[in-house]
Order: sequence, then C-alpha cells, then structure tokens
Amino acid sequence: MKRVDRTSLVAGLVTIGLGVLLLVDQLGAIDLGFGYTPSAVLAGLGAILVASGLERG
Amino acid sequence: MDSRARVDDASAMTSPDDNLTPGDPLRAGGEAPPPGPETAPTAEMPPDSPRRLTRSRDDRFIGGVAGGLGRYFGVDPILFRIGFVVLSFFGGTGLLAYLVLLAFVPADGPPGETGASRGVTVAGAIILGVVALAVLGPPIVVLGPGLFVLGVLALLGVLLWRAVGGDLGDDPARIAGRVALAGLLALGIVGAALGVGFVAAAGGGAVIAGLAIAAGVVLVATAFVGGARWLIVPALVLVLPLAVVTAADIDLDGSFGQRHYRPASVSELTPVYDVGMGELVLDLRDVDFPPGRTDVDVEVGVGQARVLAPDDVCVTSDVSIGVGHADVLDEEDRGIDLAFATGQPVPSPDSTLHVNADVGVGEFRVERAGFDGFAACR
Repeated sequence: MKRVDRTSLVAGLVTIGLGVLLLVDQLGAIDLGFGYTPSAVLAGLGAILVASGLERG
Repeated sequence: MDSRARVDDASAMTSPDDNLTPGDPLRAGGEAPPPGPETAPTAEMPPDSPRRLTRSRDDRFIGGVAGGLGRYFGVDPILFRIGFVVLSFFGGTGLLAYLVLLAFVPADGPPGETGASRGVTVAGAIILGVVALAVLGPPIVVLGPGLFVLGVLALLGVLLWRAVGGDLGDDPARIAGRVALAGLLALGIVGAALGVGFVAAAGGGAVIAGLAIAAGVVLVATAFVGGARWLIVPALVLVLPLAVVTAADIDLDGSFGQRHYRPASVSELTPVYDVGMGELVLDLRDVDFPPGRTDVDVEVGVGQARVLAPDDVCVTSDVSIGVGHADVLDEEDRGIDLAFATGQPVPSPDSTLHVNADVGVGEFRVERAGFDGFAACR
C-alpha cells in the first residue's frame, strides 16, 4: 500500500475549506472582506508548507 | 527502504542543504538532481557545517531563490514559487521579496564565480525596490496598474541580474530558453487567474468555488494513491482570484465603459445606477429635490463613480468600497473594506439627497460647484 502523500492531502483539505468558505460567501450567507480573506488564504498556504516540511523532515 | 532512499536520508542528515527528493514530481522538470557538492558531503562543506541559505543553480526558473529556499527548509521549491506568486497578488510583496533575496542571497557553488558584479546587483535591486515602493505608495495597489508596474520592475530586475550577475559560464541559449519558459508559465498562470477572476466577478463565483472544492476532493482522493501535487497550482488559480473578487466584493454584472446620466427631475430618477467596469457620472444638478429624503443607489464593480449634486440640497451618503478611495464633498477616506458614512443620520426636513454607493475596486466621489459642505443639512 502506498504511503499517504500528506502534502496533497493537506492541500486538498485547504482547497476544500477555502472553496466552501468562498461558496458560502457567494451564496450570501456571510460577507467576507479583506480583513479575513487574505489571512485565511495565507493560513492555508502555511498549512501546506508545514505539511510538506513535516513529510520531508 | 531501498538503497537510493538510504542515500537520500544520509545526505539529508549529513548535508542539510539538500533535502530534495530525486524524481519528485514537483521538482522542476521532474529530474533528479545531478550528483555533486549539493547531494553529498564534501571537503568544502563538512557534514557538521552550519546550514547556509544559497540560491540554487540546479533547481531554478529565474534566479534559483525558490530552489534555494526549498533546499534550506526542506520543502518543495514549487511551494515557495507559489508563495511568491500569491504574495504578488497581495500588494506585490512577493516580487519585492524575490528581488531582495535575489540581491542578497549568494548563489551556491565556488565563491568568486558570481561575486564580481554582486555590488552592482545589490544596488540595482535596491533601486528597483525603492522605485516600486515610490510608484505604488500607500495603500499599495493590489490589482491593476500597480501589479503591472511590479511585473515590469521584476522583469527589469531579472534582466539586470542577467546582465551583471552570475551564470557567465552558462549557455546563453539555455538561459534564454529558461527565461522564456518561465515567462510563458508566469503569463499563463496570471492570464488564467485573470480569466477566473473575471468569470467570478461576472457572476460565476459559485461555479468557481464549486470547481475549487472539486479540485480539493481530487487532491484528497489522490493523496492515498501517490498524490497529484501538480493539481495544487490549478486549485490555487481557482481559489486566489475568487478570494480577491470576494474580498473586494467586485460585481461586473452590468454595463461596461462610460455612462453619463443627467435626469431633469425626480421622476426621471431610477432606483439604481450601475456600471460593471468603467466610469459612471450621475449629474443631478438639474433635479429639484423635494423636502425630505431622496435615495439614489450607485453600484460600480471596478472603476469610478461621480455624483454631481445641486448646490441647495443636503447630501448624505453610505459608501461601501472593497479597495479604493471615497471623497464625499471633501470628506475623504481610502483603503480596504471601506464603510464610509457622511451627513446626518437623523431625518431632516431639508431636501436631502442620500447616496448609497457600493464600489468593488475604485473611487467614489460626490461633488458640487457651489460647495458649502454639509451646511445645508440641519
């Protein structure tokens, strides 16, 4: 059985999370602004970097 | 664990500068690193020597900055490349950071090969950085002309580095090919991102979000059968422009270009004046407003809106701007996520024009020739 690729796993979860967040905004349930969106995106990218680093470390 | 993996593990322990995995699908070109001083301990770099951040000569698209960072931190260089692109969308800091690292981080390999023109490179990068900051000014423009200027400056920086920096012994044709390939790749990514952003702003945001979720599901599913890391970039190309459009609340659902409206009476007013992208001028100087409050809504996706008010009417406003500048009878504010209100919040017996403005990215102004501030409001 192949080892789980944690970078792809975390990147996928981050993409799903951000996609759901943006979809909810598009549907009008919430109103995201510049106060939160860049932070969420950067946090997601940070999570991908951490996962990649742990996988190699 | 096979013998190759053991060699890699040993190399990672004894030479921390190289943590890249041979054959990694994210590695540029998918090639294994050539044997040499980066993949094995050498006399020049003993096993217990401190880690040193250098630009990579072997793993690079432009200057080897991302390759060097990936090797230093032990992660895929493409993640840093993505990071630089992403930060370029958020104020252009990615390009500035890349220029700074390009200038101050030395290239790997024997010293002296690239050191002769290093001072000139540093000076050039500093000048370009200062020029970029001066052009952008506060607040830094996220999209539009500011990004274009940053792109041009980055290109100039790369050309300057190529002209005075290292790689003097490289094959010029190979350098030109790599630069052209990197440029085409960057152009393709930026073009795709702009296209996605346009579709999202034109009303397809929910579809884009759905595609991003689907890409995420595929990433998760493939993670258990080896992974599909190449899908990370397309997924980000979907998510990032949508994030910008969402944060700025850009709505291009409307007309494009210049729109000039000049109603002659209150009966000719329409509930909403909107333009998707462009300039909207609403000239209300011929309108004789009745006592009490008259509401006018102005919506602009990307661009400028100007409302010309009569001299004898009280003007109040509620302005919402994603990124930009508001100027209502010389009361100004600028920045991101602007919620700007002027005038009296209580009902007034005067003839009152109340403007509700919603601008994604751009400027909103209310002007009148005989300016008397809010003196007409009681």
